[in-house]
Amino acid sequence: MNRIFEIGGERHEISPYGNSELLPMDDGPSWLLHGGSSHRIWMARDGDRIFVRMNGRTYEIEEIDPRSTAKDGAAADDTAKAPMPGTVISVEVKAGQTVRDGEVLMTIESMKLQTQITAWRDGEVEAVHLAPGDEFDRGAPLVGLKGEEG
Amino acid sequence: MGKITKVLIANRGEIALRIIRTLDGLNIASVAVYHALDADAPHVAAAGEAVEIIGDTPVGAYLDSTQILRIAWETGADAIHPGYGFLSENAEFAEAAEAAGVTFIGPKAETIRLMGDKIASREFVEQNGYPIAPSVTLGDDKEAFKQAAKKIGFPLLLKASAGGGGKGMQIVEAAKDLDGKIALAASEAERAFGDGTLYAEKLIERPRHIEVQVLGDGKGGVIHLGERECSIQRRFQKVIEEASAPGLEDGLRKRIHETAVGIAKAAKYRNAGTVEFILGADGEFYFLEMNTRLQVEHPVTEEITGLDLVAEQIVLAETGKLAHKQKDIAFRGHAIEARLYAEDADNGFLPATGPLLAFKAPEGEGLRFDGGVEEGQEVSSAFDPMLAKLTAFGDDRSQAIERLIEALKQTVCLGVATNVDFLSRVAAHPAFRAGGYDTGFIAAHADELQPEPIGEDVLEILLTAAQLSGKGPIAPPLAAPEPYASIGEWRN
Repeated sequence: MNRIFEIGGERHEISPYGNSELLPMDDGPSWLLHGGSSHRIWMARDGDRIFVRMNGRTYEIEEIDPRSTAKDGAAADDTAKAPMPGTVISVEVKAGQTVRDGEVLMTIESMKLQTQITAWRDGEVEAVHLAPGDEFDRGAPLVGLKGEEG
Repeated sequence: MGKITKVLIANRGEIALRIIRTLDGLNIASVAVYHALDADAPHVAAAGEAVEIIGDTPVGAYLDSTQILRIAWETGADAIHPGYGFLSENAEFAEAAEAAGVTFIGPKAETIRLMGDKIASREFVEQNGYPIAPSVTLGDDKEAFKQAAKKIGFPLLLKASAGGGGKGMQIVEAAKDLDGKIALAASEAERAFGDGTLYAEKLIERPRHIEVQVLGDGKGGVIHLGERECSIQRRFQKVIEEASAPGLEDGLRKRIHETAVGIAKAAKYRNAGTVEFILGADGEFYFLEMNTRLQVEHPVTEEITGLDLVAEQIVLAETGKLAHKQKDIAFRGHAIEARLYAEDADNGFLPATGPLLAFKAPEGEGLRFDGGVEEGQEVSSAFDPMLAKLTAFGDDRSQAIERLIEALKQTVCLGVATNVDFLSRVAAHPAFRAGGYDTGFIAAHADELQPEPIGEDVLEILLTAAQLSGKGPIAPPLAAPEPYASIGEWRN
């Protein structure tokens, strides 16, 4: 089965390579043998997040489950998600309220730093997922806007 | 005062480790304290003794002065080193320690109190004839404050009176933004410091952040250990610091040193401290604040003076006397420190969390690595996101830069987003190499500091590596319950 990886916001679907090999070394890095060349890389995986360090640069890759892709996409763009774990300080809007692009929806705090979540377009608030004082993890939905018509 | 035989380190992470290193060298026993989250942290293993502290939150445990003083008593520690952050600038703690007969390795409580209040400290500096930037304090009359702020002109800076580290700080671009920014800054200040008092300050054009390390005997004797350039900042927090400040004209450098020494003398400053200044493009400089503790970036001063600042602090605490005369302080070479943060440098420098799956410090000539984390540790949102400091020393500035770039390239930190590649791009940037940059550096060069697009050949290697990293996606199509997300045959 083809596998899907997301790198730098772009998804790549690939069929398995047969002739590549990863040779881990004792002190941490690995040799990646591929297409007649070899590359010294550091790699670690945590769930579907893969980290590769090569030539002094770190790349983050996410493996996407092909079965989940249909459900993502359109809806995801209409919900502000938590950029990091934190706490809700205040909620400025209610469901059903009309908001303008740039209007403050919610103020959150992470690592003692406050950030305002603002509307990314004109629209109507569909749902406010959290209340002041609520704690959340990275990626948690915060505020959703109603899908654009048409 | 008196001989110090055992020191409790009221801190964690890299600074706790760094203090223990000097204590070991001086044959002084060390006591570490730690919250359960830090049970496996390197500073716990390195200390002679370690005692667990508890709190409502992990940070709360390290801020619990009563508990920490009790541990000092129980373990027979005759001194406390507070490091930076946590209790280091807490006057009540310093007082309580001294009252309990434990030496506080730092300034007198009254000095901490004076310098900890940004408004009082500015008044003190001004009264002693040293320069401060035009500013106004927000009292009960918000309208009067707004009028006065408009007089200073825009853009201006809103700051928390009790603040530090950029918390509660806001830039106001125009009069119409004042109300919103005041509310935001006051709420952040209230949460961070329990005090929402604000002041507005002139925003200096092309400002450089220059600070001077001083040592004082508490009786008016003060020497300086040169200046540090700390203008590479993001979110008002320092990222790269160097000593000496590049391209500073000698007369100006001398005036800045003399001003710092004058301020510290006026305060009868005791122990190690730092006087921070804002230097404008016009060569005018203003007192910003005084940090009454060891600074994060103290290693660059150590590298160019050959002094161990923690050892200097201990001698001062023991004897109340300066071990050196000003004329004996010599400066050699150039040092640059880069702070390694767990943060997403390509997305607004937001703090990042995650497991340290792989971690390797760089090695090489002229390199110093002050780290407080180990592979396998979890980087949580409970603490400050700084993971380590990397300091490169060179005979001259360009050698220090080359060594820093090479060291950053060698550094491996996987599992949590870090700024290590961003630091490399800053260090390699022509405007950084040229020196004379200001605190707007990162914003001004934001586009050039973006990572380069990933080339086709690299992409192919990455996709190959990704395939070989596991047999397939881990998460089922619907969100997995947490336990399932952390077990599985792919993990080793």
